[in-house]
Amino acid sequence: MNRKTFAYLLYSSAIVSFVILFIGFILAVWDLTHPSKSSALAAKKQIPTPQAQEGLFVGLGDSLTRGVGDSKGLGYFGLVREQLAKKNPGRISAVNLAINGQTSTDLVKQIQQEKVRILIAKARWITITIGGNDLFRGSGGLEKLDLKAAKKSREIYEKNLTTLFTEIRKLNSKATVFLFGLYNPFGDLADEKISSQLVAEWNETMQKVSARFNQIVVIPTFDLFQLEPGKYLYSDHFHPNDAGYQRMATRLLQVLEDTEEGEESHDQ
Amino acid sequence: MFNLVYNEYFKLIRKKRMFVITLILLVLIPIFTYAQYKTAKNAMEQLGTSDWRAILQQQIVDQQNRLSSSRLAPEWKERIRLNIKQQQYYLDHDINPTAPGAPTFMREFIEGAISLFLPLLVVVLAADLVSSEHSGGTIKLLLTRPVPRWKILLSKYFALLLGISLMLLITAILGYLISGVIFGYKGWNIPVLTGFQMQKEHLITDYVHIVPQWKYLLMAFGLAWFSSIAVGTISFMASVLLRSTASSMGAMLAAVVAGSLLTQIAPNWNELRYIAFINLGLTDYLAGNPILVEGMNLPFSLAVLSVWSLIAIIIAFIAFTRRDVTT
Repeated sequence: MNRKTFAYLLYSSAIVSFVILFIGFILAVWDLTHPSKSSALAAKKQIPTPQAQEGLFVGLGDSLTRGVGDSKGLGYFGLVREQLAKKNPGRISAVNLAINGQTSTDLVKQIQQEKVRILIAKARWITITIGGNDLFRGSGGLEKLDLKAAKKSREIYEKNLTTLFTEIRKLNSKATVFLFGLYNPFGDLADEKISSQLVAEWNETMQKVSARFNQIVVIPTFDLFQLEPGKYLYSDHFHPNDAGYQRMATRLLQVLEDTEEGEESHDQ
Repeated sequence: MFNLVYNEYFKLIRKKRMFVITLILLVLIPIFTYAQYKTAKNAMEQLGTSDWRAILQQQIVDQQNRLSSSRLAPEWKERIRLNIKQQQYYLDHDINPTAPGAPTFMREFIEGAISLFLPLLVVVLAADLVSSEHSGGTIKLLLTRPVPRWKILLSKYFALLLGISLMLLITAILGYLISGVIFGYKGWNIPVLTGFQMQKEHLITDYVHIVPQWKYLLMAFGLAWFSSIAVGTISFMASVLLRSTASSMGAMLAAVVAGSLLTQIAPNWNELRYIAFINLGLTDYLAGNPILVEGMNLPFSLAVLSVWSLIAIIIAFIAFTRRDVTT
């Protein structure tokens, strides 16, 4: 390229970019000073509806499903999700709907929400941790266990659990539901015998209610934390720690494998 | 007049300043590209999975969770909703948002460069425009021509405006070509959120909307162009007032750097906002970044920059036309 055409090119490209940048500047000022809501509405149209997922893993319940106490923030739910995603790359999606501090009464309210219902209906697996907050709050706290109050809150819990499972089955008759049993975080405290007995009663209630429905699996956790609670509990002495969640995840994965293989052979 | 501008423009180019700027960009853009690539890679490693679809899905779900919370302020809800929409778009169109291509790099680059890096380049370009005629001794040749002085200065100014435009064009082209080697050349149509407004302490999301990235880039570069011109105009005045290249360039560099330092050191000092160099980050309004100094918005910043530029150009013209050339 000779010098003159190069010079001409530089000159004209400067003029062109001057004009384009000026237009860009005017556009920006116009866009920012004449805001309209219409463009947001127009943009809505080009967003298609979410596609149906092949394997939806839904978590419900309290802080245990949220993963409180796990240094990585995964919890058993996150760990299981990772395993599932590894085995079925691109085909698994997971939704964690658990809320910290939720009691069974809160959960029954939560599943009335439209979005939650849609997700439950689409789910292939539903995992739940619920009851810990009912038990240890409804029984007068950790120091003095009020047996009468505990009995009353267990009755409420039984009713809520029945409502919960009825609703889930109404929305989704196929999904396998996993309900984690309770463990006793106070196993190394003075009132160990009483608290353990309470937890056992509640676990029995879980079994009893679950047995009335199809495809609901109660996964025990009592034994996991029984002998060495300090090793598997987080420093708040209530939630599991990394190792505790790992144990829970292993249990869930063991049972999950059955349903997966069952599904796959069913497909063939 | 046209010939004069043409002439001055080529003086500007021939001084090798533009070449130096291109070289600076050629060195820095690969570094920035690599830095961004590193960040994206780190993020991926931290999440433990390379399947960004799963990550996105979880992010959407987490945000939907937050939406269902009754404790959330309504203005945040709208913002989250738009975020979800954006992420759902990525998912539906199979766009990986962590490695989304050269246009996104350009956007981040211009947003980061607008308040310090670009102004510095502009200063390099503009600060010796007139003073070099003094130090080179060519000022006499220039002024003995049968052209009024204001015309000479005006043509120099126009040449500067063209030079700044060319500089931004080079920045855009180099940014696109170099970062595309790693990030790929796609992504012009990715939706970008804009329209956030600040009112006192609150973020107003009423007018948030989605624009395609090419349009956003056009707007961001337009704003960068405006603030570059403001810096260029003030540097232009400095080059008229101060006769040595070193002092005009030094003064302008100090002013630009001080402006960006002050915003970070003393965001509570409200009167700062009347200083031009505080108002250079115009793309912050586009992106909805929080503005550190209270009471600043786009019209305000544009007004401050315009007033400073206007005063600078008036001073420059008065000084230039009245000056006795003795050297």
